[in-house]
Amino acid sequence: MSDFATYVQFGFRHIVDVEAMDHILFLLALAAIYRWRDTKSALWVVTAFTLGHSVTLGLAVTKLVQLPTSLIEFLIPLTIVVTGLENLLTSDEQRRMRRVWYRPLIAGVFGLIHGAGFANYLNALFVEHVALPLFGFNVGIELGQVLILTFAAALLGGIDFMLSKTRAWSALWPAYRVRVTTVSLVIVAVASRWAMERAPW
Amino acid sequence: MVMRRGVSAAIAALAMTLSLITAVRADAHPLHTTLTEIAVTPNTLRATVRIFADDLGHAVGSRTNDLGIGTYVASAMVFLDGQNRAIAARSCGVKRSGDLLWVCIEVTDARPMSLRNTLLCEQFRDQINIVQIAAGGTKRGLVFTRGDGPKRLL
Repeated sequence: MSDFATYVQFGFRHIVDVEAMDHILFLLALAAIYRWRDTKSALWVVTAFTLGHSVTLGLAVTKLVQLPTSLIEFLIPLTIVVTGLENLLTSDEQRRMRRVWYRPLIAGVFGLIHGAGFANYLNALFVEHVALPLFGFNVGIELGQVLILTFAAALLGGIDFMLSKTRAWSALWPAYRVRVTTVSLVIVAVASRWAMERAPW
Repeated sequence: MVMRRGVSAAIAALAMTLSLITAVRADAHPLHTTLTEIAVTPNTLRATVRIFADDLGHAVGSRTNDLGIGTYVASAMVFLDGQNRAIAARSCGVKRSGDLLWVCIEVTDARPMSLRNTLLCEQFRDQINIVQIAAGGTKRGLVFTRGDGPKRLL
């Protein structure tokens, strides 16, 4: 295996692991409002997240930005809580009225925070030649994200299918809204607990 | 009937939420990783392992001197000959640099064919050990995770 392939595998294995739950949960929070017909919007959001996360990773690893690990570890669950709350509190109508780049912008800004989460470790480990490991690691992370989002789309599609078979919901709420609310509530609850436990004070 | 099904679904969702809140770990998402560079010359194989000191602390406990660290690394990174027999490696020093330890082990007068790398795999389920090998002008990489067996060096 070439050095580059080694680092791609490193990034991929790192992200496709239950220990990477904070990253996976953020992706699920981003994906929670989308349906198959919204694939294009979802891809814009994920691309923005990837860009944000790559920018900080690059800046931090090349030592242009130094961020305290404890602060980053606290901010990461906060980004998940905020995304989940946005899912819950913003209606489809409100989203349609806002500018098209509004959600990609949130994802990009939060991506900046997530990228910093890896940076300190990579910085310490690859002291003298960081460019190739950084690029390979990022490619692996992105491939892992595509896999996670594919599973997320299947999971959310499955929830929609089951809800559409249950008449109890359709009378009160459309199945899609029940799915967004349930998934987002779980995400907000889990991430809130993480944020409280990682609070630096 | 419909109402009862709705209540059941709500209870199931609540139970799932509570179990997730209590079960999912709140730890941050560190990189449990080591990086090993192996240089192969005709008579010697020298491996330099970069390992985070706090991760290693879980494995060596109170044996944090150079001897304890070298012994642990040599026991978890095992070079094997063509018949899958372990080849004795000796410690060639430990250097500390910030959060990182650089641990050197070497094999002389033998030709290892494969490597088993279980460094910290007993401690961390998500441990990833990267190995880069330079031999005779060629380079290649290996990745080890928990449960991996020996892999060919060259």
